[in-house]
Amino acid sequence: MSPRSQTPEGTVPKNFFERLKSGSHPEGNADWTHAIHERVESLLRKPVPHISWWSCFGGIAFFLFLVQVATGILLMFFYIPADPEAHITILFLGGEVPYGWFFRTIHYWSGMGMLVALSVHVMRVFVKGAYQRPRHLNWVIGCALFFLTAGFTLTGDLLPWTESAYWSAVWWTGLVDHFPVIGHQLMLFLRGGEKITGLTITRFYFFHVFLLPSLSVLFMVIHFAIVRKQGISEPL
Amino acid sequence: MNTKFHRTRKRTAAGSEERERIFYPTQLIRILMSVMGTIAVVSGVAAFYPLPLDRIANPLANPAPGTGILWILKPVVLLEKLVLNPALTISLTVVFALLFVMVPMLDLSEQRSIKRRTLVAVPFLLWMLFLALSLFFSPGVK
Repeated sequence: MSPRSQTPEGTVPKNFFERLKSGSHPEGNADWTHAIHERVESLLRKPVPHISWWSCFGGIAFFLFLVQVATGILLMFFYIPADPEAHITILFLGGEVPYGWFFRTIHYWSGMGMLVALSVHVMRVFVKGAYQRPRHLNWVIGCALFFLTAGFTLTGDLLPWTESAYWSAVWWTGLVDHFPVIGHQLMLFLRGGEKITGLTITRFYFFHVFLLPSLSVLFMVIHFAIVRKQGISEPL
Repeated sequence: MNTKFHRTRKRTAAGSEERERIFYPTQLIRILMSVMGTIAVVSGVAAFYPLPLDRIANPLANPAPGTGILWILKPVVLLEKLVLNPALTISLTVVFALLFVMVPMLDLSEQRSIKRRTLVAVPFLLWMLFLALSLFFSPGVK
């Protein structure tokens, strides 16, 4: 064992924190190492309520969001949001790019997994009555996050510019058109015109990679801040 | 320094002991297991179920109505088949979504158990039934 890993008194440090305090700094108990130690220890010793595995689905959804971001950035290197380049680049990604098919598949299935995990999370909060005051605001933000995730799925579906995705988008944007008063304007905003064209791909791409992620991150920060302030709801 | 990061016990006011859980190891290990399990499931599904790529979109083609509608829209597809009116379908979808968001404002009961919250339990069961029906009775959905 090197001399640096020993305490000033010459005894062998017992654990990570003692090594950090004694060996990492020539002056031993320096303020900065002490501050780190205090911070880490307070985090590790933070009391948590007795929660079940069902409570992990919110965290799993967040983890899958991170997977989405990572694989989405990799896909962005190759994807061109235009007609017909969108489809051609996806073909190229699947056939020519090493592991391109794998990252695309991971992106798809993690997106589906995120939707499922969020559904379970929302259902658990609903059934357990954890939305009641004072957590009502967090419920509204959580619902917004759920709808944003559904928006990710709807916009991402069209991006490969496949036949089924095209007709799916025709159907649901056509349904939006029937919404009273603002329906037609909303449909024009979504499609970028009366019909679904390459311009729609560009719009959906903007929604998928910028607008929805930005809003999601904003809502997540607020959601987590409120959870941290109010704590996890105690079991029934 | 106290290095005991295990589950500890605290004494309540009544004098009885109850378990107190701290972040490490209880919660941290659970988080790590969840993350590793998620990675295993997603990687496994991705490896065994690679995504097929449909034909390139052709706006001039004329497929069967409803072909390939995204699966998350299944409840909306079923709703449209029930009410037979697109305007009513989209309006009801928005109303249901808003009601769901406003549940904490509508349910003022102080009861936590769903069995004692009839106001939300009945719509919840109906919604679950509708969701289950939509999985089987929404044709043409991919």
